[in-house]
Amino acid sequence: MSDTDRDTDEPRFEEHLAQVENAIRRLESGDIPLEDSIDLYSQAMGHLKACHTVLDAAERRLEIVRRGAAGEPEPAPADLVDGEGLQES
Amino acid sequence: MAESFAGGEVWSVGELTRTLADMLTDAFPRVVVRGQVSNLRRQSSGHVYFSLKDADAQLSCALWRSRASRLKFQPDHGQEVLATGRIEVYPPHGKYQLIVDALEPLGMGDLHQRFERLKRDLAEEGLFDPQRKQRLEMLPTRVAVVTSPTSAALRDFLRIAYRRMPGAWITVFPVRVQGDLAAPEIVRALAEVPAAGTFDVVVIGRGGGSLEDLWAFNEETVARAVAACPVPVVSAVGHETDTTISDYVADARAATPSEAAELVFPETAELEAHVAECRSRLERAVLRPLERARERLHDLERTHALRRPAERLGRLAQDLDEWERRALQALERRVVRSRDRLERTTGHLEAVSPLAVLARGYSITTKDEERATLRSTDGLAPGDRLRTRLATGSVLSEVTRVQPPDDGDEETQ
Repeated sequence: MSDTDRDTDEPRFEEHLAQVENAIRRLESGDIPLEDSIDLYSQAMGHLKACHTVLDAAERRLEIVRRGAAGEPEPAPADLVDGEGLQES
Repeated sequence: MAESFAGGEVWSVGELTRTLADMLTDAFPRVVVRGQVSNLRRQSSGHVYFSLKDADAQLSCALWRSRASRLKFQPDHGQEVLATGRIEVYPPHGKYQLIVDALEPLGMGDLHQRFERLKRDLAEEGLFDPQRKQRLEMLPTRVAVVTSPTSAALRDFLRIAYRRMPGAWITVFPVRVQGDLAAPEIVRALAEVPAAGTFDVVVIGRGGGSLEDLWAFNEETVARAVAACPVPVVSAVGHETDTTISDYVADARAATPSEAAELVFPETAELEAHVAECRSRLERAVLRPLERARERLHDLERTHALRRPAERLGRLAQDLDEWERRALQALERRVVRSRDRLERTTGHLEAVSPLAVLARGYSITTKDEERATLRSTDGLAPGDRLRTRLATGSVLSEVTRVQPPDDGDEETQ
């Protein structure tokens, strides 16, 4: 599954959001030179865009681990869902 | 030996007692007795004396210090136990007693004891320490669930998970959650999770039940697997009142599987609203200084003393143009949802004149009657007249000393 997994080193949603919130606090404090404020704004917008990318890219998936011949766990798309959750089985 | 009397032997008390003692010891070298503990006495020597009783009879018991210290639980009054040992007679009292080798609590009493003992031991070991606990991601990319695939607990979990975060990615590791195979299966699944993908969190749990039903989550092997798991673990076992050892060890505890879903998954609709709010606050924050500058510019324009042609601002105007260009570029790079808003923003920026910079405390200095803004001491000599333009008014002054940059600003001569 590693091909579809995220890179573990890239910043997470939470970190992007924290950067944005920090930038807002600094900009709203009003004591930043105009020039710096534009740089800060540009960076914060980049983080906001990353937040959107995460939120928009998330796609509903449900898998259930089944065991291969060697007993290795293999996540496979679950067929045990209906619209609301698991079906009785 | 015994004397003869009236057709029978006459025993000394000691002889009879010894004979009985030998017979009893031979007949019961090892016996397991079930009964209830009473008259428990712990001597300072470390030996423990008590009686085992049931509805019909009672049996004196002795538990020597060496054995007592090795017991996995402490016997208590009224407890039902299984005592294993041999029967001996204590001649001075003429009483027989059970010399106890092993003692086990029975039934529910047993599970409670094991629970408390393991809880105490693991707490002492530091497995419950708050600083061990890993933080959960605000927005998990991928979530593992170790539970029974057909349980109502899983159904509840999934329903709430997908309601809160429609784009959730959940991988179920099916295990038994009850019976002797449950603990080893949970342990194996917890070991498999980190290898099966990059998970942000793993939820283990099941619905409510009796202490026996939930027992797998009180096993030491499971507790240690939870502690060793590199992925943060949320434990969600049973109902509100059930607390298991795995709840204590886990990085976070949920009272029920439904609550686990609420703990793990954010309301993405709320997050989206928050992100949108952040964007508009950012825009307001970056535009506010420009708007303030424009307001002060209007004030300046009404000031008679400053009714001077804008071209006098020379190089400064160029600087501000550059800032405007960059601000517009920055605004255009955003995730544009509303064309309107961008145009409004552009309007704000265009309304800001270079003069606004003066309102921020900058000043412009020129040689008197020259247009170029001074940027260095080159060409300046004592006696030159300088004009310094401030936000309100300007100052005419005369150079008394020129200090080229090499001399350093702080030096006094």
